[in-house]
Formats: sequence, structure tokens, C-alpha cells
Amino acid sequence: MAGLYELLGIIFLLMLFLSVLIQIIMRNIFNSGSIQLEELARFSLVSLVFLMIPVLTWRGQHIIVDIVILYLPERLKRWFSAISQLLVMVFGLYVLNAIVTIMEFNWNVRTPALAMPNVVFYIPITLGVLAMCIFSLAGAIITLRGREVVQ
Amino acid sequence: MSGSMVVLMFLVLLTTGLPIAVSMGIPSALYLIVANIPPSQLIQRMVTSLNSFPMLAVPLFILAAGLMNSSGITERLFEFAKLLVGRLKGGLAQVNIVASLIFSGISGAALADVGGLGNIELEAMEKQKYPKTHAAAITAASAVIGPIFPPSIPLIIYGAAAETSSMQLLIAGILPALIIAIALMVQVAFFARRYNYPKGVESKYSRTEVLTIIKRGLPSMFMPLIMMGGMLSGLFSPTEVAAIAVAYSLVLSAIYKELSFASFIKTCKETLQSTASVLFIVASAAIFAWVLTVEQLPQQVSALMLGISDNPVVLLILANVILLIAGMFLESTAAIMILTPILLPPLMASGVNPVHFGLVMVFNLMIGMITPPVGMSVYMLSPIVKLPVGKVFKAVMPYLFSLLVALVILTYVPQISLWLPSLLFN
Repeated sequence: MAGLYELLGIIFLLMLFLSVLIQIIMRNIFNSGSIQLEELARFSLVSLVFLMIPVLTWRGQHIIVDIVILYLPERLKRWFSAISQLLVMVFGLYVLNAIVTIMEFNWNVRTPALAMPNVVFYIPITLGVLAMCIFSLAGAIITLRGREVVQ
Repeated sequence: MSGSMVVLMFLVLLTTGLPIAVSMGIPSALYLIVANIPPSQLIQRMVTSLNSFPMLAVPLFILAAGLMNSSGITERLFEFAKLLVGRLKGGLAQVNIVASLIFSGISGAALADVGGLGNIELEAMEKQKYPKTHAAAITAASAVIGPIFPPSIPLIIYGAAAETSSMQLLIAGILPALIIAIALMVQVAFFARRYNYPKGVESKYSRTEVLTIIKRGLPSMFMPLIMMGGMLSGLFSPTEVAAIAVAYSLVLSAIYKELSFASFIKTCKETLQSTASVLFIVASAAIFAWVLTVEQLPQQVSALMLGISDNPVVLLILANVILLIAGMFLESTAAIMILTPILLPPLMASGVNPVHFGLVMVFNLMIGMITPPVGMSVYMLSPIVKLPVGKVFKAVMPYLFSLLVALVILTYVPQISLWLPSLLFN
């Protein structure tokens, strides 16, 4: 599943790059900028960040400050790691709740240039946060079972 | 729940090994719950912070640097730098600084410099029997230049946080980066005599060798020139320059035939990882900073600082101390997002230019990347040189002297940062 999210991330990254590049070409050669392309690039950035968050969670690649836990005994380190992952899940659930609150009233509000409904704009964000919750829960269980210390 | 409680909770969570972004998100979410503010505020703030045109430059600059590394362009830059200063005593240590300066004209992140150029530099220095600690120290210290010289990811993030033109910030970084490079080169020259470093290149280059190196390195050297030229001429915005850098890297990779499809995908994956880890912090810091603003923490700090003095010299000393300490413990993106709205208002009230302060802030935080306990450049270098982190920290300490001298110069001579932007943007 992390691989699929990464693949989607690559697609959004290339879309972002091409949108900006095509916009430069259009503006400088054809003298016509495109606000749609700019919005597409920004949508790609938001999407790739949120889609990659669960991948970082699963692989323990988030930026952390480990000066304290580094010196803890292995057993305690495992507990800290599991609790951290559960806290990530709790935060993810709150963010999901926040998305639901927005969608309740504003699901049909459209973006200015592409006229994309909010519900579409938020799909990658929701998928990312949902997967972050699942991955962090799975990570906590794996860590507690002692199969592997997932940071 | 007060602003100071939110900050305290963040610091406690931070030390438990929780991702920095989540350490900021949880206290913010709790604040919203306690203050009965709709949760939609959180996700809206997070998304809005990323949904901006200047932020698009972040993944593009990371991708450009990754492509340069994967396609052998970095090695060509190193050879070119060797041609320029390799014949000096302690030549490879000087090459290390010059190559970092050239590479920083492409990458914009200190860690990209350590990870990309670092390996090549360390290998070359090891061959010339430099002590491992010395080689690691100069590699870490010279990487500080990266985020000062344009393009710079931290400066772009500061621009978003301070609502200041990122173009002006990037242009403002040119002269300060040169000052830092010169300060480091002077110290290396001193060390070269003291520790009897060898020359980087023993014999003189033949005419054919010079031409070959120039021929090999020139297309890569065009990259920083295109980027600087594009920005200085006002033809392209920083984001557009970043896209051009990616396109140019792809063209060069095709010419050099050193980038396979597999390594392209690998580079994309690494770009995604770096981008998401930095921008997740930016997104969480947006709601965290908003909570602090609602709690009027910036106003309180502002009143406190202006109560001490309204003299910009005194306030800059205070800001430098705060930033150096913050840089020792906080990741730079988080520090920029949290501290900019807190420190900038009192400094601006005393007459400090936000562009100048941006440079001072980023330089302070970059020094934090080589100081214990959270010096990320050192943590990244330690496994490469196969030395304990503590030894690398100890070795890099002497270079703090030249960096701090450069910091004092940049802090108290704002003209160094502001001259070019004022010349170009009137």
C-alpha cells in the first residue's frame, strides 16, 4: 500500500513539474499564462505531501528529535515508539474529523481556476490522513509485539 | 489553555521522539477543542500553508539537486572546483568550500550538500590522508553555505512565514554566502599551515587537462548561472527557476547518459520523502503559529523585547542568542515557522529590514545544523565517515569561530544583504 501511495506521489510530482514548466513556456513563448496550470501545480503539491505522510509514518522517516529516546533501554524505547505511533493515529483521527466538518458544509465549494469541488480537492488529503491512521496503528501493534522497532 | 501551555506541551512531546509535525499538531488540536473552535480551522490552515505558489519551489529544488547527484553532475562540479583552488595548501579543504558554494547555487538545502557532495569530498580527502575528523568537520561547516546562497528552501519558507518577497530574500543571500565562504577559507588556510595539509593537486594542470575539466564541467556550471540570471533579470520567479533547474538537469542527464530510469525513480522517491517531511512540518506549524497568534504570544514577546530595548543592535543580539539556542534544539523549518511571527514584529518595529532578518535567522539556524545536540548535518555525516557523532561534533567546533565572525558581520552590516535587492528592486 505504501508503494501505491509513493507511485501516486511520483505522478503528482511530475504533474507539478510539468504544470510549472508548461506555464513558463506558454507565458514566455505564447504570451499567455494559465491560472489553471498554476492551480493544478498547487493541487499536486498539497496532494503529494499528504499522500507521502503515511509513507513516512510507515517507514519511520518523519523528522524527529531523538536525543532523549536514543539513550533509553530497548524495552522502554519500544514503549515510547508505540505510544508515539498511537499519538500520530489520534492526531490523524482529529484531522479526519476536521475534514468531515469541512465537507459537511463546503463539499461543493469550487476552486477558483479549475472549478474543482472541495470534495475532489480533499480526496488525496483524506486518503493520506486515513492511511496515516492505519499505518501508525499497525506500526504500534508491530512494535509492541516486538517484531520490529518502528521509529 | 494558554499559549505558554501550548508551547510547553509541544516541547515535551518533541523530546519523546514524536514526529515534529505531530508534536505541533497535537497541542494545537487540543487548544481548538478546549477553546471550542471548529476543527475545520486546523485542516484549512494546514492546506492553505501548502497551497501557495512559492512553496512549489521546495520539491522542484530538491528534485533538481537529486538529479544532479544521480547523473554525475556533482562530480564534474567537484573537479571544476579542484581546478580553481586545488593547488592551494590544504587544497581539498578549500575545494570542499568552493564546491559547496557552487553546489548551493543548485540545491538550496544543507543536507543535500552533505549527502550529495559530501561523499565525493570525503573520499578525495581520505585519499590525501586528511584526518577523518578534519575532513568531516569542513564538509559539515561548508554545507552551512547551501541555504544562504540562492536557491534556498529555508529562505523560501521564511518568505512565506514573514510574508516577504522570496525573490528579494534569495537575491539578498548572494553576498552573505560569499562572506561565509571567505571566512571559512581563511580559517582553512590557517589550519592548512598549522596541521600541514597537503596541496589538493601536486603538479600543475596541463593545458589539455584544464580544457577537459572545463569542457566537462561547463554545462554543469551553467546551471547556477541560468538560475541566477533568470532571477536577477526578473524573467522568472524562484518557483519557475526551480522548474527550469529540473528541466536542465534532465537535459544534462540525457547528454551525459548517466541517469537510468531506475535512478530517476529513486531520485523522485527521495524528493518526495524530503519534501513531505519538511512540508508536513510547515503545514502543522501553520496551525501552531495561528494558535500562538490567537493567544497573543507574539505581542507578549514583542512587548518584552521592546521593553528591554528598542535599539535594533540590542534586539539583534537578543534575536541571535534566541535563534542560536533554538537552532541547537529545533529543526530549521519548524523554528522558522514558529519564531518568525514571534521575533519579526519587534525587530521590524525597531527598524530592522525583514529581508535582512531573514538572512540572519536562516544563518543562525544553519549553524544549529552543526552544533550538538540536534546538528542534523553531523548526524548525516557521522555514518559516512564511520566516526561517532560526538567526535564529529568536537571536530567541527573550531569552525564555529569563522561562522560566528561571519554572523556578526552579516548581522551588523545589513548593507551586505540589502545592497543587491535594493539595486535590483529599487
